Amino acid sequence: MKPFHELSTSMGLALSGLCLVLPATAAWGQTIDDDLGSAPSVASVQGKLHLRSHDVDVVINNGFATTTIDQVLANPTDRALEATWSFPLPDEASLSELSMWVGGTRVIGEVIEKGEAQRIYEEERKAGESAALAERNGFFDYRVSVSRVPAQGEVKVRVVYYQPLDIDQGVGRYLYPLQNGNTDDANMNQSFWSMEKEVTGGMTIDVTLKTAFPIDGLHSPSHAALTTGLESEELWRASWQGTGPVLDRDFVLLYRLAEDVPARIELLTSRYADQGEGTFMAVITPGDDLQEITHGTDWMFVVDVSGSMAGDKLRVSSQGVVQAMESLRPEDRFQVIQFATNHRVLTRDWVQPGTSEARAAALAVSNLQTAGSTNLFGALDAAYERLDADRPTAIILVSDGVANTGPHEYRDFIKMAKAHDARLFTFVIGNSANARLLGDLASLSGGFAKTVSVQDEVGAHLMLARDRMSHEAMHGVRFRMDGKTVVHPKRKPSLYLGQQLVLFGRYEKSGASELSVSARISGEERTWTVPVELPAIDEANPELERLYAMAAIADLERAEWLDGKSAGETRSAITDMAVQYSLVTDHTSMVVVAEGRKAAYGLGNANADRRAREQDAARTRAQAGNQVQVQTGGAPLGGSRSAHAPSRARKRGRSGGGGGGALGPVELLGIAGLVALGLSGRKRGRRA
Amino acid sequence: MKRVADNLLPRLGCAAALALAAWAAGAHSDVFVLERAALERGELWRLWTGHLVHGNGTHYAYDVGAAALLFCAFGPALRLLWMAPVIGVGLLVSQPDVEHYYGLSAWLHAWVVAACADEALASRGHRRILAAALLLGALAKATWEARLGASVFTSELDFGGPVLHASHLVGALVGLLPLLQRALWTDRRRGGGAICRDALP
Repeated sequence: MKPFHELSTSMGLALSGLCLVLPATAAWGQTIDDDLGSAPSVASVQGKLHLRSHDVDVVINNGFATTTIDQVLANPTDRALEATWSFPLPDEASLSELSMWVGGTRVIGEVIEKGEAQRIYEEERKAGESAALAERNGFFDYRVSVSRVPAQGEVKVRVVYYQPLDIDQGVGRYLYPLQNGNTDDANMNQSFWSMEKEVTGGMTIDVTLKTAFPIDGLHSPSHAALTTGLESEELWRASWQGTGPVLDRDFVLLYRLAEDVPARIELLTSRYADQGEGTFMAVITPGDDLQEITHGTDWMFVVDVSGSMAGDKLRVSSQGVVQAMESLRPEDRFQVIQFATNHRVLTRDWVQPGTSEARAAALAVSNLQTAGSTNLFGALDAAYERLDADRPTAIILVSDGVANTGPHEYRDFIKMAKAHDARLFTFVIGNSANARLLGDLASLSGGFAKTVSVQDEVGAHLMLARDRMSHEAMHGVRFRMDGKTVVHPKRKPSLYLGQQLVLFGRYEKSGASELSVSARISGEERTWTVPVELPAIDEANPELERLYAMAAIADLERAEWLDGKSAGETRSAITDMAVQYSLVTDHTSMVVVAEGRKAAYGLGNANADRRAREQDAARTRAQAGNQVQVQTGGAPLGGSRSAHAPSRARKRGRSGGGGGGALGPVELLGIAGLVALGLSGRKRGRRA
Repeated sequence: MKRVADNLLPRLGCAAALALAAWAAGAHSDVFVLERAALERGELWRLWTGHLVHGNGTHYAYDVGAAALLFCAFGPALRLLWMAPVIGVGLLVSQPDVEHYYGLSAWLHAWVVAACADEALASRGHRRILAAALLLGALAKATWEARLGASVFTSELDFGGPVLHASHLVGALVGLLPLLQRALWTDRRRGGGAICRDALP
């Protein structure tokens, strides 16, 4: 049998394809005790490990969330097993800790170059030592391996990640991704099929929600049994627990701010005495003075029907598109394109809402069937070709987001988007999409991107796009601060009614400063300036440094994808930054070895020290009040209220609708009973 | 049973014709779906063809399957032709918010109720009780759905669009019309009296 590390690529893919895929869920086990380094038949070991517990703790503190996952893997067999699993994370999330309890002590992983991390992990595994490895697999997912789950024993593992959160239309949304990813690739699909859904000892989710503004309420559309408790208007807690097959659906939490919250800029900062520069996160919330636009818009709905969209994804997508089509204004027009390997236009020409043609299009969308791979480029190209240059146009792309047929390089798409003048709104269903590509395409066109779960109300998300196209938007939003500052992301996005913009940056000069936001609204350049205080020392939010670094790395990755020539330099810059801030990227991984063996590999304690600092700050924050600077008022953003009023989509009832009658299996059985009665009656009648 | 077997071929032919018509109507739903605005423009054929249009394959399969069963058991009847437009008009009159309707199920409800009523009147003993129970069950289910705005049995299935529950009640009530017609006709012929087995053709 070949040693594990010598397996061919295809075998490696097959093996990885058979690992269990879930946020920190065990996995297939590989026997390691007798014949170290050998890989037994995957089928024979798959499912040997159990997931004893899976505990998720979420702290949402103003603009970002910290998610801590503790899980216990149990090995009921008589041989030590290796565990491997994978899980998706939001694109902008930073995996900050992988730790493992060794001899009762928690050992925190350190970030180093990816190849070196793999080498260390393999050496430890072959030596029969406890080790763990966290790697990023592009935009698909993160993968974690634990070298040794002892026979008849358990291993406790912790994963921590941070992610920025924005508020949309006054509603905040936190997603803990659990449902499968989204690719037509056979190997990846196989891995999702073999996903472990079962937690033998139970799963818990605890959420602490803290904001600078009063919260009206929170609820979970995915976990209705969530219990919530209000400690103050700005501090809520929620919890959920379950056992058995609980790992098969996303956890979605929605929270709504009070409606009279003003337009504002929220500023969170971090600066330690030993740092030359401070870090900030700015969250910009525009006001409600973006005017309504009365002229009609052309809508091009582009719907993915590739094989990976089968089941719930296509169902919620088609229902959402039909809802959005039915809610368009009379002055609007629309077309529909379905695509997989090839595309097909479902409407002969532009269709006006409320007509027979519109009804036919809705029925056609309801009847969509899945098959084939994803030629995203071809579909978008066809959509652009059909646009009418004389009217404002929006393309609504609904997909699970992995282009795998036709041109699929990042630069191909960017080039295409730059060549056309139409707003692109992308709605990505699922947890492992190429969110960066779709987000950048949308941003470049002046639209926006949304990642939604099948547990979300997809129709409501689509209708938000319609609401936003019917109002002025802020285009080319720029952010400036006095003194030398660096801001990421570097692109100048558009900001629509009810949306927030989240930016990260560094500053040198402390003290009083001015912060300005500029944007074009209906062709007119407008600027809003507010005073801020940049602290010399602020130890409240050290997590911002990693979030800033992730945003900076995302900009570097864009450069790497766009310009293949300088990829080597960019890669080196990404690696340096990721090691400095202890971040797992495509070029760096986090490896855990026992404390006593760190020195042998030259592993320091950079991440352990950083985590200690972050945990101290989190404990302080939990006891203290909110420490976010909030600036309100002033044009052009400063309507007296933020655009948090319920959208027209939410206010509007379903008047003027319709539908179909439908029979179910029970009704069909009743009819069969009646038929049998009728037939038997005739039989007896003849006898009589 | 032999009489059923003798008639099976033409009955299956009717079911196949219906299935074909429904399939064709689905392909051109823009001109066939029952739509209030189109009726006001004079496109009256939609009162019949609207029942043939379906939301998706599941919807089509259930409806056409049920219709095939009923055709095999009871055969075609003239009243099936006039029930369709009466259901359409009844639905649009009773539900002013409804702009469009599609699907066979309201028509099937009418057929089931009418067949149950026939069976209840034509039979005796257990058969009469069973048929009456089916009739009352169908009416109760349709009333319950119309009142709740939700399906009693079909909520887990995807029919490619919203289910218009009121249509089932309208269909069930239209299914009672033959009974009413018979009662009134018998009343006139006999100069009053209850509906009875002798009055049946």
